[in-house]
Amino acid sequence: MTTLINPRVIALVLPAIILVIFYSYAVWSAGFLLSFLLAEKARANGLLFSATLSPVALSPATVYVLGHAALSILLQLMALMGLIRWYILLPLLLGLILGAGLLQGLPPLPWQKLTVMRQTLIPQGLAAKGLAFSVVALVLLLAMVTFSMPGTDALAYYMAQPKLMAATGAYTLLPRYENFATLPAIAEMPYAVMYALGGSAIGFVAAKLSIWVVFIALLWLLWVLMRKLGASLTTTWMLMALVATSTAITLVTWDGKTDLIGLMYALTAILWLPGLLPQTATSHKPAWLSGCMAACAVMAKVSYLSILPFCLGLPLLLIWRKQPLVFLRLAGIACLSAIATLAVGWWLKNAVLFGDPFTPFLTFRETTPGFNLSQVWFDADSTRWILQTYPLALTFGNYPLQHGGLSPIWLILAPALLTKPWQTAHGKKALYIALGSIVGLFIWMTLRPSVIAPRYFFPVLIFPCCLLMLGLEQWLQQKRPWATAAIFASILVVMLNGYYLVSVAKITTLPLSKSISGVVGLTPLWDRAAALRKRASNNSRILLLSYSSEFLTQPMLASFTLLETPNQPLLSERALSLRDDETILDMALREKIDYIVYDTITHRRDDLDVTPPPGLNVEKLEYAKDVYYLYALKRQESTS
Amino acid sequence: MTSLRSRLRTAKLALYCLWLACILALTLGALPYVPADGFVIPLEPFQSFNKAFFYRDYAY
Repeated sequence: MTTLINPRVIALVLPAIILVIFYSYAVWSAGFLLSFLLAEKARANGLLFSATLSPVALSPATVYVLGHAALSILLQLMALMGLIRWYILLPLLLGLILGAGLLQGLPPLPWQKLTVMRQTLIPQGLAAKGLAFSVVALVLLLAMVTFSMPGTDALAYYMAQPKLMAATGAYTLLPRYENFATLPAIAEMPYAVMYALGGSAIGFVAAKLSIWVVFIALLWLLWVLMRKLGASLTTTWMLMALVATSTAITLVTWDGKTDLIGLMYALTAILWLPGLLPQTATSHKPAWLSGCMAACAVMAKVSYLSILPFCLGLPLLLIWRKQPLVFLRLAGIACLSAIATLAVGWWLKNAVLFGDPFTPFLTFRETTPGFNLSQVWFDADSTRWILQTYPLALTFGNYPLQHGGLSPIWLILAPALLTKPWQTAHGKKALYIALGSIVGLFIWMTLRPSVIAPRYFFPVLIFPCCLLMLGLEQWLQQKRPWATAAIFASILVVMLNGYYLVSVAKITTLPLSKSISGVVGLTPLWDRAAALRKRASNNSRILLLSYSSEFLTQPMLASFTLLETPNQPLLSERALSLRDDETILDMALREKIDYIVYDTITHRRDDLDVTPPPGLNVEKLEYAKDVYYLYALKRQESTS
Repeated sequence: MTSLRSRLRTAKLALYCLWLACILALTLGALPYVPADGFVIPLEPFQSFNKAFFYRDYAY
């Protein structure tokens, strides 16, 4: 713990926390302002602001999500106009907060409500209290673990692209990942704000921490959903435990990916599904909002396009099956809303960047980078095996690229379905949601059978759990010992996950904090980035034999991008097609490269550790044996 | 009759507890990044079981 509390770490973490709080508050204010534009009906519906619901059911979370989506789309448009600058962002965010304040007093801070909420948060009974306490501890532990080095994907794209936006102020395409820019970047835009306002180091910490806030919003949304479905506090806490022990969710909460944002939007789309909850009767506004949020969810995670039409469409159809005209009207409104949102958040961006609005689904220009939408991860035999082990593989699977699973708590509660929880009015709604999700899961298994990563189809795994929770509710009323056994088993699952997170903290958080304090040799990627920061200038030519570029400082990242010769293959691509008699060092001399960043796992080659050509001095720095290297190259004066 | 029902109820609950034990055992083998050393229960058998059933080589 003393390692964590040292001046250098505090100097990074404290401003990062302030930045995340500031941005989250601005997001909330944006949602607050938007809700006024949505007129009285939506407010009266109780899902934005509700005076009639209990304080817990009051939904600042939905306000937050609304603001999050709107601000992210706005930021993406600003990036297209080259306006991602701190001196533009800061007044904008301050303006949102002050605007909301002027309109109806500053939005109340969550902790001002804590006193009231405490009574409605703590469940009855020792076992349930123990469950709630352990979940809270796990969630706090998760916040600590966000202070760690990001995963490979985040270093390569999720964090690198927004960092480049912050560095250049505009939507500059990240070299080698231009095809990713054909997808919307609304989930990554908050990262761009963190980097623009916090700089490279504080922005790095703040960006990762900002996803934890999304995780909290996600829990809150699920809380609201469960309470509106008539669940007790104990049952609602069980759902919290299920989410907090789903490693597929916790992994992306701390490793820098942005997948949770899509899930947050999708969950809001369900909450606003017309007719699902008492407050969302036949009014048009929930249909508009639901469609808008569904589109945002697809923009944040494109794979949701295969599943969300079923997750949302089937429950809507089942709810309104006796009034087909109402169903058609509501579905039509939701579709129109989704199309309008996609136009602003996706097609407009693609039209500006590539002149090809509907790419990657419909590409008209040859110059537009292609994005592979038909991913295949395993061969036919392995894929067959994966499908045979469904749905257990989703919980216990450790397949490569799977990246975590759904909590085993769903299996703990599976026998509770024998109580037929769908027989009540609320249970029916939960059943509709579950049916839509199960159909969505089958569609996914059919279209992408080898893509087993739950982060690609989170909603179909999380939504049906509401029905399981209502089964637990029946146990609590009819079979208390069964409910108690389930709760104790769930506490054990939470504790196991706590142990897992402590191990993660030991191998990521503590070494990183020591590295920041100046200890070398514990966090290879941080050490290599620090060496590069110290040695290289902003105009150094860097050859990346690595998928990652996030570790470059913002000026370096900008100049790295600009230093690539226009209309020519990238340096890293040219390195793959050298003449037979040429080594990478020959190329380095010819192209006046100053540093080579080399990851052997992904870019192994055998012409780096050879005798350098005359006129070139090579210094090899090793950061992790046979994994991470940096080559510092010096050209002798006669040749330079 | 009541006694029989009571025993049946207990047997069902015991069966459920067995179900829970199986789930917890499978969970032990599935947690990513948990180091085997220092854990109160040896994790290796659980992890091997998990690998046999829920792992295949990546082939892109």
